[in-house]
Amino acid sequence: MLKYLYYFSSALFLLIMTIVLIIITYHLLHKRRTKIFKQKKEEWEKFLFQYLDDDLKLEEAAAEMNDSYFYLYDFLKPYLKNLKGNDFEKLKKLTKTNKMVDFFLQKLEKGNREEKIKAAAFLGKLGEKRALPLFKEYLNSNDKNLMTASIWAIADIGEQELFFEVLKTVLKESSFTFEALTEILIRFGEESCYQIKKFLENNFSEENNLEEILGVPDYQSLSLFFDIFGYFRFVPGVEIMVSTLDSEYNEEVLIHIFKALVKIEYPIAKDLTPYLNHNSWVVRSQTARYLAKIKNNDYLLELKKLLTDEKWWVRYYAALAIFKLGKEEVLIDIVKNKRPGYEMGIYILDQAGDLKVGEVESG
Amino acid sequence: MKEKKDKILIAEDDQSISRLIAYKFKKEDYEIKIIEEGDKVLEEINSDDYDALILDLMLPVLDGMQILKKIREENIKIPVLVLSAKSQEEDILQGLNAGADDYLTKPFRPDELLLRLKKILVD
Repeated sequence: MLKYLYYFSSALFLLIMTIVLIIITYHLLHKRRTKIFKQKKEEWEKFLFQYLDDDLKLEEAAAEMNDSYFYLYDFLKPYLKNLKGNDFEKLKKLTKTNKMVDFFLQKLEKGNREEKIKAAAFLGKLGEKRALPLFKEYLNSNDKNLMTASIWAIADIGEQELFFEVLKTVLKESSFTFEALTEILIRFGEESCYQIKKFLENNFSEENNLEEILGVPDYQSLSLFFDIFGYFRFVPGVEIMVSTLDSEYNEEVLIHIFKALVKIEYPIAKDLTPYLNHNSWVVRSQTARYLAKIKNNDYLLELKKLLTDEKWWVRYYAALAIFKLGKEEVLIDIVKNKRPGYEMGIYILDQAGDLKVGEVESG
Repeated sequence: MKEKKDKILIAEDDQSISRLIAYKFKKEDYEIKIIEEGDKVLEEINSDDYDALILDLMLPVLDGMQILKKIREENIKIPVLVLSAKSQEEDILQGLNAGADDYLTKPFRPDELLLRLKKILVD
């Protein structure tokens, strides 16, 4: 019995020692890497700043910054992310001249998994089109991280020809949040709106549904598309949104349509009363918001009714709409006579500085 | 006699960016101080005579929008230029409404930042 206890404690001791050794080694390696990076950063920083400020020629800067490419990538990352225009172009020239782009193109093809992912992020950020065939291939990779890095890289490059390929890939991947999906598609730029519009014109009708092509319920893809239209204030997309309003029963889609219309600020020829009385409070509030944006005075009565809505946001947007439509006298009247909804009237007028406390009390 | 240098406070938590801005501005003969945490900004403004503040909105501890509101609430007259990755129209309007004198979105051009800073200093 004692013998087994001895073996067991020895094995346990060895295991603990191995774990401790691994932790120490990892810690030392990390410390060493951090130290090297810090040294390199200090060294490179002055050359980079001089180069960006035209105090150092491209070739000279490239000669000073042409080693330890993975460290260099970490060093350049914040500049690639935060600079634009001429400064960004200078960074592109620098990374071409110092052979960093060639290095990462090679790593993208033949590196290990981690190297490929880093290469994808770097080449995507630089808009390096030579990497596109590999990015396209990696869209089908079993490695989710490599696939995701390739998706972002293609989006960063904004390659329109791969737009739908990326779209199908991201839609079938459940790991992306709706916000991430929107962010990816937005990176393709406004041109993607024309692609979406054409796609919807060809494939979305009473007879056809998008699910067969895109593999997700129509409301998901439509919500995403209309979000993109809204982001780019894409007026040519309004017509499709209006025709969707005619046929669409899904409130998720309605919400995205009105949110997009609020951003686009384009008037539509349609009776909006049903949406001001919709079951979904988000649809009601966004419709009120939209009326204010397009300066439409035709629904004042409905807006006044919404001042007593059960949802705070609906009351808020209704009162704000009345105010923004230039009808503050309507709100003042409601407040002074303590008519239904006067509390929100006070809130909005107070915010706008149009109301003195005494006015309500004496009203 | 040498003219007094304009003193600029940069509140930015990304060292790479704040140091780049500082490099450029120092060449233009500005005096620069960098702060990385939001809660130190007000203290710093009150402790020294700054001519302008370059303010990132996403700062740790206390975010830039709160700082901006406090600056204006306390009626501190310092010109503020917001430099932020928040680039939606609503964000810009919100920043300007809160009392920013100018708003520049990231990614940005350091030359443009310098020109805009010069403008708010003159104004």
